[in-house]
Amino acid sequence: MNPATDVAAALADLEQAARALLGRRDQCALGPMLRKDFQRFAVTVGDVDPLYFDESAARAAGHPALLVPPLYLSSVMGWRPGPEEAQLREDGLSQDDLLPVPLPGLRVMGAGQEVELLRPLHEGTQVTMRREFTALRRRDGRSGPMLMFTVRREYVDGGGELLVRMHETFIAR
Amino acid sequence: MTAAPAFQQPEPGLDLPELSVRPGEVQLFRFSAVSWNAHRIHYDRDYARQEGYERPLVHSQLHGCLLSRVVTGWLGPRGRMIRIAWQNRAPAFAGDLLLVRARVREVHQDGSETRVELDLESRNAAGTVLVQGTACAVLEGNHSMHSPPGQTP
Repeated sequence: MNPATDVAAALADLEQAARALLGRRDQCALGPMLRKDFQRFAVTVGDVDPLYFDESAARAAGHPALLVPPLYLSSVMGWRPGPEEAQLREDGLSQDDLLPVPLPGLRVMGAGQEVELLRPLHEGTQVTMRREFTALRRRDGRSGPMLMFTVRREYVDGGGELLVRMHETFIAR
Repeated sequence: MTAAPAFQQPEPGLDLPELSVRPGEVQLFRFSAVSWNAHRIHYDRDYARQEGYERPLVHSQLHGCLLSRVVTGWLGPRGRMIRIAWQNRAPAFAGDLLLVRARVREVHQDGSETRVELDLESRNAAGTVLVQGTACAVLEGNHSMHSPPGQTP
């Protein structure tokens, strides 16, 4: 077998294994939105809106508490303390945070997101993330075959109200 | 920082004020840290080279945040972004200059609200499109400078 055939065969096996997991769901309690976390995020991306930092500004604008930056929830990949370093993939990714699908040996990268911002999110709100593996496509690109995975993540508050719905696609090859 | 330019009323074809940024290794490292993303292509030069990249890559999610800044920076307190979507078209590397733009595609009056549909893109200095996307923002009907989100002044 030449290397290209090897890769294609390995990808076909992974595609079959992944397809069996389509529709798999799980959920994770993220805890309350903490100012240190979302403010560091805001500073890092260069979005220093006073509504994220100054309670009186947030209240004056009609918010019950500090506002959380709109793409904070959908940008954070992992919410659990782990995994321990030895459990990470060789490329540093956490298998569990990435996808409910094992992708041994494949290079993975983010391909984009679609984020619906249904309600403003505030400091202290308890959030739960529900995740579902919703789509799998195989594509034969210029650089060879690849798998495209889509995961839907929904973030709800303590009362079950939907705050953010997000579809994220990853390329694995 | 320079003062924000005066708010321009949305109409199809309007270009929002452009964002010109150069995410460097420090910003990429901090973004990896705050998003609890240990993917080595974003901070480990040697590893990034193993995957065929000349330098660490800008995160897809960070691209989204930069697109978002153009929209929310223009909106200010006048309204709210309710949707944003983007696809990565080409890799951006640590130290690349990114020109992040948004253009109004459509404007709809919906009762007391104005819905603004936007096309988004980010290019590098060579003009290569790195990211393309769309967004939707809702403005209070009168576009008052200080109408809080979801409240009528």
